[in-house]
Amino acid sequence: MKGRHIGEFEELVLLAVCILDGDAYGVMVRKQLEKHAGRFVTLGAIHATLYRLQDKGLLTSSLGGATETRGGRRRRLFRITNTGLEALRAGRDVREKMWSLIPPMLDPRLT
Amino acid sequence: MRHPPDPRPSPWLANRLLEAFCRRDLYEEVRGDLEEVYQDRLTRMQPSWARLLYWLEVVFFFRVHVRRRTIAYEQARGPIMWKNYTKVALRTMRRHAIYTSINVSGLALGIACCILIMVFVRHEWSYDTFHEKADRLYRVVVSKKDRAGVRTRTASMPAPLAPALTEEYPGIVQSVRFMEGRAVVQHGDLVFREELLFTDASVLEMFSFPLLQGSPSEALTDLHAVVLTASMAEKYFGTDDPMGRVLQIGVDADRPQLRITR
Repeated sequence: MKGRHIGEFEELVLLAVCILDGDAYGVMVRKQLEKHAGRFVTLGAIHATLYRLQDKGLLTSSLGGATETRGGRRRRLFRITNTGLEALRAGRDVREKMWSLIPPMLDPRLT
Repeated sequence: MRHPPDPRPSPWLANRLLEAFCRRDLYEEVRGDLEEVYQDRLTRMQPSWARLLYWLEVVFFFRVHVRRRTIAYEQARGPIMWKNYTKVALRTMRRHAIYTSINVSGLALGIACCILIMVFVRHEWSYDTFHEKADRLYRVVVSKKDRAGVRTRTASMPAPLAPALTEEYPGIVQSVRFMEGRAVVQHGDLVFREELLFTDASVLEMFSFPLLQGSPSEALTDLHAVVLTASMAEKYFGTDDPMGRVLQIGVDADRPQLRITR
């Protein structure tokens, strides 16, 4: 099972999309990242990443739901694909495996 | 959902900028997101701060995936269009014949001059390159300015100058002098008027004239020594060896010995 290699930021964005479960669009993703990862990200970075992930086939999207706040403009909602889930899992597996291989050390924070 | 009208619209200039570079198909959602964030921020902070952040967001939106795909113009490649270009060019030139002719003749003239100059210079520099010591040989010149301010240079000067300079300046290693002359030269029945060159013995050491017979250090050791060209030797002596033979110069009996030849 070969997962696609994804960057750290991309992974965070994917996770945010998963968390939002159907409500994922630019602003929401940004809020999630800010809340959970404590990172300030520009919308530009998020959008670019979302599009890139979509191009790679890890996400799909659709338009829908215009609101007044947005000046009557619709928003694009992203959803994760199976491939995307695979990628996330692959990443996590690798990480967990390597974590488990660290020899027990005196510093308790590492295990 | 009803909302009160926006108290402060988002910065119009930033929006114009966004509109300029953003991909058409993504514009709506991008703009919408930006707007939403802006409105949200307006409730939490100073408007000026919100606007500043808005600008920040827009500027940082300028990214590969969001930019307008600049249409990659297909490079003009290969000779396909050339036929058309030629046709058009010829037609244009025909239409503006006078302009074309002026242009072309000017260019032709310019290029011709350029070529001529290059050929000339190359020819001038091709002389006498075989002398080994060429880079250390110098020519002494007299520079005069006449009443009209015209400057002339002559290489003609008193004969004692050369030995005097050589002796006085350690930087000067050797010197040689030249004088041209014409005289009647005779050998037996063959009498001709020849052009002669009088010089110092050092000439053979300073210049790299190859000698067909004899050596540079032994030729021209006394006032009556002569060096000939092969053609001249043949003229006076035919196929015989001219070394050591005698030619007469002048109408009086003056005899330069023929030493090393050619």
